[in-house]
Amino acid sequence: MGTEAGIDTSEEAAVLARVRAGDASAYAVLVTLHAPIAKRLAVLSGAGSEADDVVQEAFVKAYQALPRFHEGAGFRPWLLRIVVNETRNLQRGRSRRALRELRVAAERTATDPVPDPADAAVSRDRRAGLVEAVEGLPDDLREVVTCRYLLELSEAETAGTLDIPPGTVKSRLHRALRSLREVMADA
Amino acid sequence: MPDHLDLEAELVALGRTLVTEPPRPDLVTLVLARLAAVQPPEPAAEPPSVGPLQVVATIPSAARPTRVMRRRLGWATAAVVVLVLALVPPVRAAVLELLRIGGIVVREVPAPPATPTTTSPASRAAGSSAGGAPATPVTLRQAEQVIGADIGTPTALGPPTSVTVTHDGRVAELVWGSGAGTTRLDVFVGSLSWGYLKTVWEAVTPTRVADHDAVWIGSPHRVEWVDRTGDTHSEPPRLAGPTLVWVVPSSAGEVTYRLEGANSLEEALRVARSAG
Repeated sequence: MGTEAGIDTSEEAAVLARVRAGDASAYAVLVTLHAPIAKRLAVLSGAGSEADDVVQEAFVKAYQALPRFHEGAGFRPWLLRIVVNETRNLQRGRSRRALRELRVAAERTATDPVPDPADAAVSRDRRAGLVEAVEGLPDDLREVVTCRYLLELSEAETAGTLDIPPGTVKSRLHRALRSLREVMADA
Repeated sequence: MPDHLDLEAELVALGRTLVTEPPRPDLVTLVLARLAAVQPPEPAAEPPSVGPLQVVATIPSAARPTRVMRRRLGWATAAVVVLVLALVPPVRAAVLELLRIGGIVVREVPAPPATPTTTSPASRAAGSSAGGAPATPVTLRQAEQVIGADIGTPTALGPPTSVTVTHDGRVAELVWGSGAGTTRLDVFVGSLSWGYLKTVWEAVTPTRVADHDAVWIGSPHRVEWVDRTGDTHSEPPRLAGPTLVWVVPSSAGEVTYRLEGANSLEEALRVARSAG
C-alpha cells in the first residue's frame, strides 16, 4: 500500500520553492504525491462521502497557508493536520461516523481480499474484532492508532498530523494498545 | 500475554487490508482550478475588494475556519469571490469547464509570449524525450505495454509512420507523415498526476469524441510537461498548432489522447472518431 511519499525532503523543498515562486502547477506534484494518504486519512477519520471534498479543501487551504509553513517540518503531516481539522469540522453535530466508515472499509476487504501476506497474519474474525475494538476507542486514542498504525505514519508525523507533542503520541499509543489488548482478551 | 509488538504488527496488517477509494481522478485539476482563482501564497497579497457578488455559491463553500486557518480566512474568502467574478466571462467559464479534461490543464495567460512561432509537430516528433535522449522506435504493441494501456489508433490515418515512447515510458507518440504535413498523436494514461500543462490565450472549444469529453484548442499554445519532481519541460519551448484532446476511460484508468496536426476541428474529429 503506497502510503509512502515518494519524494525526499530536498525534492520536496525544491517543489515548494517553485510553488512559492508562484508556479501553481508545481503544486500538482504535491497534490499527486499526498492525495492518496490524505484521502485515506479522511475516510478512516469519518469524512464519508465527503472525503473527496475534504481532501480538495485541505489542498487549497494548505496552498493558501503556505507562507506559514515551516520548511523542514514536512509537508505531509502539515497537510494531514488540515485534513484532520477539516474532517473534525465536518463531524461536529454528527454521530460517530468514523466507526461506520472503518467498518465499511473492513467489510470491503471481506469481499475483495487483498493478496497480501499480511492478510493471512490476521484472521478474518480476529480482524473484525480488532476493527470493533479500534472503533470503540475514545477519539483521541483512535486518532493516534489510525495515524500511527493504520496509515503507518511515523511518530513524528503522527504528532504533526494531530498537533500534539511526540510524548503525547507515545502515551496515547500506550494507552490505546493497553485498552485494545484488554478488549481483545475479553472477546 | 501478547505484547505490544504483536498487537502493533496486527494493527499495521489490519490497516493494509482496509480498502478505501483512491482520490478522485480529477482532484489535481480541481485543486489547480481553485488555486488559479486565489492569491498566490505570498503574504504580500492584498485582500481584493469584494464587489456585489452572489455567485459565490458555485464554489464549494469553505468549511468553518480551523484554528490553523482562522487568521487567513478573511482574505482567502475574498479571493475566492473575486475568482468567481473573473470566471464569469464566457471564455473563462469554458476554460474552467475544460479543466476537467483528462491529463490536461488549460491555463490562461494574460498575453502571448513575445516569441511565438509555431513549429511543426514533427520538429521533435521523431524526437527526443525531455531528457534529450533520442527515443527508440517501437511497435504499437510495445508502446501499449510500456504505457500500460491499449491505444486506439485512428484508422483514418492508416498505420503510423513511427511510434516512440517518451517521458520515461509514460507517453506513446504516434506520428504520421513528415514535415509540414505531420500529424502527431500523444497517448498517455493520465489522470493529472502527470501530463500536460498548456498555456493558452484564446478560447478553447469544448466538444465530444464518441461520447467522451474533448477539447479543441484551435489557436497556437505552448506545450509543457510536468514531471514527478515538478520540473516543467517545454521540450524545447515550442508552440503547438491546433490540437484536439480527448479522454477515454479504460481498465488502466483514463487515457488521454492529444492529436496535433489536423487543420480543422472537423478533420480532427474525423480522425479521432476513427480511433478504435
